[in-house]
Parts: sequence; C-alpha cells; structure tokens
Amino acid sequence: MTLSLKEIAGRDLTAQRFQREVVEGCQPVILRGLVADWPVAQAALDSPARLRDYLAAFDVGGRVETYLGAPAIGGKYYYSPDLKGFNFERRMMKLLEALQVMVESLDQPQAPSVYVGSVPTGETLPGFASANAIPFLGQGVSPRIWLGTRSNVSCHHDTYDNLACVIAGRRRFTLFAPELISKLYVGPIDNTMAGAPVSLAASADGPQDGDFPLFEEIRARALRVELEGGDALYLPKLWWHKVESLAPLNGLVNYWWDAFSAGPDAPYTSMLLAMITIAERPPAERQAWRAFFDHYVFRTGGHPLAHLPAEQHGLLGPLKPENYARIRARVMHMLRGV
Amino acid sequence: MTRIVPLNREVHKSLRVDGRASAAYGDNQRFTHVIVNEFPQLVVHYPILFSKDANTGEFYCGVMLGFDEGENLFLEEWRDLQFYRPLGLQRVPFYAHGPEVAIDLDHPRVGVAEGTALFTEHGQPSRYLQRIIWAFQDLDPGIQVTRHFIARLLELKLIEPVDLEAEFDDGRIINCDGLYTVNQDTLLRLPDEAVVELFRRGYLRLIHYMIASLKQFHVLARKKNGHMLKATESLAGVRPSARG
Repeated sequence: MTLSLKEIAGRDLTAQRFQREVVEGCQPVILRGLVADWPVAQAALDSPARLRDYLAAFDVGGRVETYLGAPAIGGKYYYSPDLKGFNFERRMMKLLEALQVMVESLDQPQAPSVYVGSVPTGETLPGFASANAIPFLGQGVSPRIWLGTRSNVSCHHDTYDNLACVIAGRRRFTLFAPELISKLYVGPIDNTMAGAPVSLAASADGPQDGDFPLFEEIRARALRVELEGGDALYLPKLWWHKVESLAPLNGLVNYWWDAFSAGPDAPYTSMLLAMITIAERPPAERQAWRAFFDHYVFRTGGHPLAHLPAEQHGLLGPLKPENYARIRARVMHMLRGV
Repeated sequence: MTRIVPLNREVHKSLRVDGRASAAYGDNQRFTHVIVNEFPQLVVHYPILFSKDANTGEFYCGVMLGFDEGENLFLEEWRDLQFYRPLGLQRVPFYAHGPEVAIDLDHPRVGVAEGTALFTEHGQPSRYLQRIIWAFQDLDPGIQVTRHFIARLLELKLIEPVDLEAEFDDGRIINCDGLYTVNQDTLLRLPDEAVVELFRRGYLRLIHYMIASLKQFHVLARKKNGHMLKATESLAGVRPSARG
C-alpha cells in the first residue's frame, strides 16, 4: 500500500472550501502555491539578501532565541549523546543579526548552523502579517516566522492545528499519524528542545542512535512531502513531523490555532489530569475507566444518551450554549476541593 | 406606570405591601445606589464603588451585587434577612413626600395578598412601615452628605477609574468597567490640612471603608462561582465517609 498525501491547488481557496476540504478532514493536506504571490516569497526567490532586506523593513529590533550549532552537527539540533543536554547553544540575538549570520554563512564551506524558530511576527515584525496574509484565515490567528540554514528538526508533534507556508528555500516534512505514538519511542515530556517531546526512533540517523524494533513495523507508514517556496502544508494537531530544511537558507511562516475548540480548555489539559488520576491504577481498573472514557469522552459507540430523546439529554446535551460552562465550573470546584 | 400618592392611615389602612427581596420586584440589579450612612453595614459584604449616572454623567456611590446584567447574588441572604439590604431597595415602593411618606400604588409590590400590612388594627404604623419611615430619616440627609462627599473628593482629584477583572470557573473572564474608586497614591500625598479637613468631616473614615470594601470583589467572584454549581449538583458525587 502506498500512502500518499492529499494535494489541492492553493490558489483561489475560499474560507468555506478550506474548512470543508482541508480542516474538517483532520488529515494533512498539501496546498501547492498557496503563498506564491506573497511579497516575502517573491523577495526570497530573488536572493537571500533581498529576503533579509524585505524583513528588515518590518523589524523593530526585538531579540529572539537563536539556535547555534557547530558545523559538525550538520543542522541536526538534537540531544547530546547522554540525552541530558543538547548539541547546540541557545542565545538571545536580534532577529536581523541572526539573519545576517545566516546570509554570511552561505558562502562558507564549514558554516555553523543557525536557526530562529517560532517568532511571533506581531511583536517582532509588525505589519508583516497583513502584507503577507492568508485571506481565508481570520485576523485572530497571528503568524510565526521560522528562519534558518540547513536544518533537521526532530520528529515532534504540536497540540494546535498548523498551516505551514514555505517562504524561502525547500522543506521536507516526514509525517507519522498520531495513532502511531506507541511505536515512535517518544522521549521525555520535560527536558525537551522546544517544548514538545520528540520521537527518538524517527529522529535517529542510524544504529548508533539506538535500537527501535517497534518503529521498524511502522517506518514504511511515514508520509513524505517536499515543499518549495510558495507551497503550504496543513498539518492537524498531534501529527508527528520531522522537518528538514534543505536549501542553504530557508524560511517558513506558520499559523497555529485550534480548529475545533469548544471553550478555553485544551484536550491536553484533560490528558494530564487523567494521567495523574489513572495511570498507576491496577490494569483491571484502568480497563474499567477506559470503557467509561470510550463511552462518555471518545463516544466510540455514539452518543451516550442516543436511546433517549434529545430533551432528556441534560448535561450530556450539546456543550453550547451552557453545558460546557456548567461542567467546567463543577470541575474547577472539584479541583480546588472547596 | 407610577401612581404616587401620600400615604394615608384611613385610605390605606388595609393595604398590604410585599417588601421582601425578589428579582421579580426589581432587586435583580448588579449595581445599586447607596448613601454614605450605609458604608459601615455595606463594607462587610459588598464592594463600594463610584459610578456615573448614564443620563447626567454625575458620580454616585453604589455597591456591586453581581457581574452580569440583572444578576444579584445576594437575593437568598436578603430573603433570609441575613445580610444588610441597601436602603434604596428596602424603601421600594415608597417615596419621601416632605416629612411624610408616599407610595407608588401601581408598583407590583403593592396590594399583594401575602404582603405585610402597613398599619396595625389601631391605625398605628406597622413595624414594616416604621422601618421605612426610619429609612427615609436616614436617606434624605444621607443623599445630601453623599453628594458633598463626592464633590469634595472630585476637587481633591481622589476619584480614579478602577480595573476590576475576574476569571470564573465556567471559563469566562468578566471585565467590570465604568467603576471608580479612591486613588490611594493621591490620598497619601494630600497636604496635612486637607487630611485634617477630611478627618473632621468624617470623610476619611468613608474613604477607608471604600478602600477596604475592594476586598469584597473577590468574595463576590467566589460567590458567583458557587452559584454556577447549582446546575451540576448531581455531578458532585459521593465522598467516601470515614469508616466507622
């Protein structure tokens, strides 16, 4: 079986079609040429120096966390061999300074790896977002910018839905579906490089990095896509992704939001709470809770009160307009204990 | 409609009025007028603040009773007569008419069978009406003192907007705007003669009541959280009791 990604033309995509054909599917979708017309993508197509100058026009001189790696790491920002530290240095630099180091390294054979990631453009590059906008995304979602030399960012997941737009260079995404988590040898949830835990197996370069037999079962289920400047990828939350930046200078703008939010609470919050209350109970009790979670939370058998008329669903009726708030107030009260 | 007439022991000898706190009778207010005489009773339950009259733009003193439009979180305590209820609401449906008391005969509180009689069989004011008469003895001069108090604080630039925001258990964040309190920095920098003047006029005490009452804001927010639990009492579950 060949696994392939859905691909649609990015041009002329409307908000309605984006919602229906992309977001609601909860699958990764390639949106070719979505941002090819962006001024920043045009500038980058010209030359790295033009990209730098284009961004400099918006820059207000804020400092950003910059990853700096020795030439030997080849752009693979990762743990040190004992998993206790990291193989790169983090330094606060002005965005333009970091960008200048990147541009200057282009001509050097043994250049360091430089990477600036997840920079909110609203604060650092005011005006950039409206000059390079996605018409069908609401104003509420503010983009972030990622710039760097060749890099290999380890396979991780995010808890938001993601629209990632390549503005410069080339990027290769290697994706694993969320349900493969148990075979990915995911590392610690603390002591991470950038917040999210990484798949040690999917990030490994060879046998020297460890032995991952379960991963061999799913290695072939990886989905790969290469994006050029102007292309975009919609990546639903929890999809694992390794991201390789392949050109001497690469840039990306991304949008993170929760496409299916019913209120202020993230599912991850529930998971952590469920973890501390359930994880160390006897296996048989965990199975019992699993059945209850399936029934009320995952609804594997449909709505838990499907056998009763809707007007008798009470607190199990639709979350909006009132049930979300009522149940949340009760949960907060229970957590406080008063 | 209102039909205000002077109260008369002959004409109104058998009239009954329901004076109990009730949302249906107009106690459903999240912010209500108060006078400075009431501050000692109010400070133990409610945030005492300034607001501006929507029509005249003039400052008045009031207490916060809730957060949402029409939300009064104290109705139960008022019905049980546990907590002090501001005179401005206690007096409804009565009005001052010179030294006499007038009544709005069209008010829904009036002529209610389960209401309280205004006069005894001997034609004397009932305890309820006596309380109303006393209330007006406080209210009328109190309104004047409150006005002077506010005017003096304005002259001394002691009134400033206050940012009151609360995050509730249901996930909502409510920002209460249009409210003002005493600027404590300005208060600390007042010249000595102004401080003595405020003290002699009894205003300093009122200022400190208002400042202290700000602590009631969080108590009020907690109270709203408590009210939200009513819809989910069935989810409270059974707590294991001590083994006996």
